[in-house]
Amino acid sequence: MTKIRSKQQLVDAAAKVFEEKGYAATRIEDIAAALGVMQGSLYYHVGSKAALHRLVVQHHLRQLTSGLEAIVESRAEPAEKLRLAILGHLVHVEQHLLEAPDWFSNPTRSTDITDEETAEHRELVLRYRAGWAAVVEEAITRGEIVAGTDATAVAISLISMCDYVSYWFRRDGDKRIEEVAALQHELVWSGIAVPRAG
Amino acid sequence: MTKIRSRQQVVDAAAKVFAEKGYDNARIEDIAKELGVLQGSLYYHVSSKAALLRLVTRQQFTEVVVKLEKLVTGQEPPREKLKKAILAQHRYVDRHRTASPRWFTEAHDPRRTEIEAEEDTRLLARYREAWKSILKDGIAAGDISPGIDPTITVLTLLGMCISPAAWPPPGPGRSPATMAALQLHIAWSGLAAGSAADDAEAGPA
Repeated sequence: MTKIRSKQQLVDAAAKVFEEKGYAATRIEDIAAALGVMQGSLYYHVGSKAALHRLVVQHHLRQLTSGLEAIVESRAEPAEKLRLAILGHLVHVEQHLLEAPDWFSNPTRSTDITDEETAEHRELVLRYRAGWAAVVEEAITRGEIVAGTDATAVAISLISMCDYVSYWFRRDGDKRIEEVAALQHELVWSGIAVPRAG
Repeated sequence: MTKIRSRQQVVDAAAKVFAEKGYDNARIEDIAKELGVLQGSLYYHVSSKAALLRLVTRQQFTEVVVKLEKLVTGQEPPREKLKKAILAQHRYVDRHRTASPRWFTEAHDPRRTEIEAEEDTRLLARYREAWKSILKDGIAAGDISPGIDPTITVLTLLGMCISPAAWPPPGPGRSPATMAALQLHIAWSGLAAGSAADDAEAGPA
């Protein structure tokens, strides 16, 4: 038996088990086994499987956000940033396909959620949204997206588009996640209409 | 006290009560009261509140699918059809924000039986096919680029409209009509300034 040294260690182990088994099929024993500790030690750190799951969701939101913020701060052109943001989200979804549908769902459906946890989840989603809006704003400033475009509404639409991929994408489907990302970027950047002359 | 004349009557009453109180707060007594019958009579027709929710939601989902299928067979230009489809989806999500099960997502719902899950999958497939028909008609009419991938395009559009990311409250903070107009613009003309077709009607808000 080993010891739990940090909350992060716990979250990493739980994330891995949830990913392999899915939330419903995971037992707290499985996570204890992955950590090499007794169930009791686990309960010392976290109150329930649901609470642990919420920590894992937050962990993924933080990862998505830090990836996006690196893109926002980079020197890439706005269209390229948008492409990378879509790709970044979709690749993360593909790597965590079983878990991804929970990231942007309403967490308050969980009965034992605390106000503090709800507030934290809310904050993380809004921060991610702000990152997307920043990409759109920059494109507007540089004249690549029409002035007056509602950057936050665009951000919500794009995150929704990416989030929905977690519900329908199949690893054994006919397209790789990179192809899906490229098609989605092309669609939202250029539209589907046939260009008109003049 | 009156009598229950049809199952439809029960479904309509339940829909009304769920919409007013939310599923969790609605009690079977409330639905009985809405119908003007005793609780016992209600249980003669349905076994549980969950079963009632099931009947209500399937009816609502079926209505959405049938409505879109009608729209698809109509004579309007593809862009107009797309506009209406996007708006209808937004209105639907907005109206059923709390109670609706996740048909549009195929997410696992422990409240569903296997047969019910299959019914939902079939409805969702019909719904996506109807969206796809709009795109294919648009390609045939020369309005939509033949280079698009219709399947991915449908899933992209649906994803935008369903807006699971509208959490946290108060949601997107914009009306369904505003979101729908913006998304039609994104999908039809693209975000890039001056790209694609001229989009006189619905520029960004």
